[in-house]
Amino acid sequence: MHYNRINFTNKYADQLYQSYMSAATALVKNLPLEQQQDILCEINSHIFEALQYQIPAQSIHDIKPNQLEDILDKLGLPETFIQEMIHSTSIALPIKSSPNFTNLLRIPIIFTQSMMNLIYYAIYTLMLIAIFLVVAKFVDPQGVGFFYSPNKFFIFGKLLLQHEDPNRYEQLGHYFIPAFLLIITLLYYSSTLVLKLKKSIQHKL
Amino acid sequence: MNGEFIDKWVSQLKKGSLSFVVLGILISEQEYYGYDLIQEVKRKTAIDIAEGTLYPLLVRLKNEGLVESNWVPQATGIPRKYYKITAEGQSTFLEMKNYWTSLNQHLTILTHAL
Repeated sequence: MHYNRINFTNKYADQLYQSYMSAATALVKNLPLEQQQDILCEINSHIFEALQYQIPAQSIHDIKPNQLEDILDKLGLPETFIQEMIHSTSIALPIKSSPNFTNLLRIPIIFTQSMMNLIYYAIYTLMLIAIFLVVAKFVDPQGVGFFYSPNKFFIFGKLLLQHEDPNRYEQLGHYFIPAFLLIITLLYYSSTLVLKLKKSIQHKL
Repeated sequence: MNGEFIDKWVSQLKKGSLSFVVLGILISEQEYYGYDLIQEVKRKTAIDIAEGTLYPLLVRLKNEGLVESNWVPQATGIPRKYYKITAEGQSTFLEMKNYWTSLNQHLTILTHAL
């Protein structure tokens, strides 16, 4: 049921009525349609009956703005009594037992967020390893490096060769520390990027 | 005299007794629409209520199953929502009335003793 609009010949009275009903409509918009219409029809009915009661000899359409103002003042601000009506109506509404599709739609977001966590911790771990290797290179310049020998071994870190000269297999040499500092910087920016992405996903949840 | 305190007390008293007053009017089993009910409250109790306060109260009474309502189309094109008391509302009102009478007696004794 929709409320039947009351028409006023006075432009100001009409605007007054319209703005009151618009405010009421905006307040009830989150309720189910039936409850919305019920509240709006009740307010409309109150205004109409008050007009008829107070000015029986006059056509309600020709009401003076101050007469309508008086009725609306007595009824009160929509923000006050309609909020109370909405609160009371909402309590009485049945709780939906159907599956919550909003939660189902969140599953891909939650999955992506978990993957982001995993990537973040992986990058963080790699960064810690790289920092450790830089420190280790300072402590043991001969034993730590990027060691590579075709068909024999590939070691990125501490070489545990007992009887061979490690410098034979070292590929980076003096570039080891600058290369690793560059890697640490890249890993740091990558982890920051992942954190930002994670936060933007959290906002969507 | 603390006028502000008295005003608040009177306002709370009116608000607190409004459900009793509304059920007391509806107990006659006559049906009332919102605006008519407000006028009846004013006529019978001299309580000058803010008209908007009655509607949330009617919603609460309806939720509690104490009153029921139905929309009745009118020749004017603006339907009226009529309220009437339910059987549960009648028994609730009788309980409220007993309590009110008892409270009133005690308060009368108290005020006479002062």
